Amino acid sequence: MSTRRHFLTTTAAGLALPTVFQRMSRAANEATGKDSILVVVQLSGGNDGLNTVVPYNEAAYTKARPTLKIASQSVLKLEQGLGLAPTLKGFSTLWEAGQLAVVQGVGYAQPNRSHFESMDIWHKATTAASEKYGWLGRCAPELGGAGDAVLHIGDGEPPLAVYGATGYAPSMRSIQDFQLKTGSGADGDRRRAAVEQLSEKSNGGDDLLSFVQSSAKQSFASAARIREVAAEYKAAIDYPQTPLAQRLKLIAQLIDAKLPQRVYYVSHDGFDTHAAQQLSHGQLLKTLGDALEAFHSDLKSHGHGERVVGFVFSEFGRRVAENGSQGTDHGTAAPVFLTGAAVQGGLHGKHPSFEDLDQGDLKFHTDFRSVYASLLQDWLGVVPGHVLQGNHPTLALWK
Amino acid sequence: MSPLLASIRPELAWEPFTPTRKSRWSVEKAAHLYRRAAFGAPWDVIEAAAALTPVEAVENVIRGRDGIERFEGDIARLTLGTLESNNSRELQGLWMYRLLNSPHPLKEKLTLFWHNHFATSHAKVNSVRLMHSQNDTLRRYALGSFAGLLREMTFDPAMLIWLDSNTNRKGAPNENYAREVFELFSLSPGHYTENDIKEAALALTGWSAKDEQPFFNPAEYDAGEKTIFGQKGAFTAGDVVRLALSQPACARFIVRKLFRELINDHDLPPDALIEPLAIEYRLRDYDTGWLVKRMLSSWLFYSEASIHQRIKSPIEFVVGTVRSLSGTISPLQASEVCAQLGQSLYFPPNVKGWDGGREWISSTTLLLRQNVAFEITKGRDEAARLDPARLAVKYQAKTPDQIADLFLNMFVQQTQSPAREQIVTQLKAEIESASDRPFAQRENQARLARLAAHLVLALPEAQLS
Repeated sequence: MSTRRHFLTTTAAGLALPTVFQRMSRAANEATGKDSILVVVQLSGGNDGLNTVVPYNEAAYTKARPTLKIASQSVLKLEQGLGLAPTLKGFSTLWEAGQLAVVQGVGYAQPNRSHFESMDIWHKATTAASEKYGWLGRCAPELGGAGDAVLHIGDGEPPLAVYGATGYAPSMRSIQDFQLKTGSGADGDRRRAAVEQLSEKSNGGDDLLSFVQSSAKQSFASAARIREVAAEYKAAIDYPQTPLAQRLKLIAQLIDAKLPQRVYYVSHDGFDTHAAQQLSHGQLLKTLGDALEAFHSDLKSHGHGERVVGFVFSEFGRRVAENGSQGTDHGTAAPVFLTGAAVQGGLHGKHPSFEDLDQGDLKFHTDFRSVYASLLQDWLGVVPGHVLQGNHPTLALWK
Repeated sequence: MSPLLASIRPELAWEPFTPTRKSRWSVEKAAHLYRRAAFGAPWDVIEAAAALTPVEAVENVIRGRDGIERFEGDIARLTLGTLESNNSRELQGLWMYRLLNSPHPLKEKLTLFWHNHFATSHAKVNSVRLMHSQNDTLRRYALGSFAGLLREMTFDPAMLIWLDSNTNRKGAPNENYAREVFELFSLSPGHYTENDIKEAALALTGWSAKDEQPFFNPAEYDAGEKTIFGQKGAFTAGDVVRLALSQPACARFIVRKLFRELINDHDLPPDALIEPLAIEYRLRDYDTGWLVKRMLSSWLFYSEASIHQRIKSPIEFVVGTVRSLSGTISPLQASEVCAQLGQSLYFPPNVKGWDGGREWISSTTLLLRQNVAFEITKGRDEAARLDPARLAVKYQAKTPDQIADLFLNMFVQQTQSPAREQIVTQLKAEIESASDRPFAQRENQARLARLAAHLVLALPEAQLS
């Protein structure tokens, strides 16, 4: 039986993982000769870049944001008159350790202010309607493996970014996805034992029934192995009890279990802050920063610190001026973030000018595909031209 | 050759099955018929079929139940919304609704067979409307003429996009469709040459999908003389289809493929078994309805070489379970589950379709199938309208023995299996463990029914059709 085919035909990670386990020793990637890992964190809804990396001394900023401005004494100072939102303590720690790269002024020409369309553009890495696949979906075959290079972690539908010629990348919610479900408590345990017992009987023949029975035996063995990995795994740090942090923890476990995935994808939702944004936006950023800080710290303790890079983006920033509801409306350019030991910490590129706005929005100076190209070429070891249309200069983002 | 098929005498294999004292018409055989041809059926339907003659039972399956017009009316309304949504998941849900609820499941079964034969993926076609329209064509010809279907598919807009006919022009031929029409759709390898493909590609030039319609541009058609299968002529696309259908290999190929679908998915049938059907299929202008009926009526179909000699596809497993429990489930959810199990409607892995058979089962998909069995038999939440407890009440199964037999009968028709004793033991343990809890008798019966249904559906036997 070809396990490879199963990888190519399945749409849910659930199907893939245990077989992946059997191939653990081949985790290091054959196609690119690298074993680097990229974790993409999507901020859905349009993150307010100005209240994330705050130009606290800029008069144009304080003037445009009478109720939402963050004062200089509150920000977590970076440099060049910029500071992180006060709740981004996690990012601040990464910054101190030289593990946070802030790439400023990222966007694309003729910006689209529709969530759906702009996210599609980021996902497909093109405005061409003819493109059907996402950039990571196109990247997956370049990463080799058996179609299992990219894994989406979460409950929802996988994003367009991970859609490729063989369909969507697999999706996984939790380790529980790979366990026999029989309910909880003593009843559940008894039932599990019964299912296992009833399945495993085999007359050892070559007939169809024996085949299914021996497959059952294998499946219980794989599930047990995954249970062990999960039970043995000790996070070096207490992850926050947020969905994002728990997903990153799951990724750390999978990385530690030497799974062959090269790209993990998670979403962090709620950034469409049109009204009363101060508290909610601060909370969203806290969740983001704390989760990534815990993640990198945990990875380091398990010896994977150098192998993993986080990439945080949103479909657009928000307008410079706040609206009448103490919120912000859809804007354009914004910073993206890279995290991890391998990145060149610090500011990359200038803050977009407040003098030169486009209909009240910041102008981008760095095309997001240059960030993608850098991630593809310098981190994942993939020729960017195989994934992206056109030429996009790479950025000096690495140590 | 497998020992199962070796014992079959080709001259008798396709003769209509008539019950004998040694091989009676039984619930086991009736359930086999419904499982293979109709995604299973509620237990009372199986029992009723077992009380008919085999001929009548097959007639019923071929004809479908009453209420098709009303069902199609519902479908037409649902279709409007699906096309408007332009959402491929809704399109999957729409077909799943048919699979779960159609009064004519055999037609859906064959539509799925042809979807796998002319495997076209939305991933490339990227049009809900065109995929839906192709699906309608597959259904219209599901039990009709394969000759007509092959013609329709050659000019089907989704297919024209899928296999690049859009770029097949005079002076710049694209051989994609020409190759697959011979290799995968009509003849199979070994029955054409590379040159036949080159020449057929020229004959197929000029066709593309334009405004969602097949479109012929004479300026891009290569009108020159071609040689295909040793015949010369200024052949057109229609001629390519006609020439393929005139090859004896064509009927053999389709009969073999249908054998794998309806009779046995892993034993290679000898030529002697295929030839009589292939000859008549071709003579009858590829009347698939005739071929299917012939197979479903045959001695071979009701023999050991066929019963339980197929692995259920994810759709057979999920739809079959829901139909057997005579309940219903969200079609969107059902198609999502099938996708997780490896069969995403409208997204076959490639132009060869799903390999099927043992390929369906990996250690992981099997685990997932067992988890689906657990979820489906819970009797609440998304499975509330599938509660096995209703069936225990309806068939008055009260004791552990009665309940175990009911569900063993319903799903695997093996009440003699060694699993029975273990299941009964489990049901008794369940009563034991609940003895200190004040369950009403009815509640106890419900719990046992759900447990029994789960344990039976999690059996390896339940993965076989």
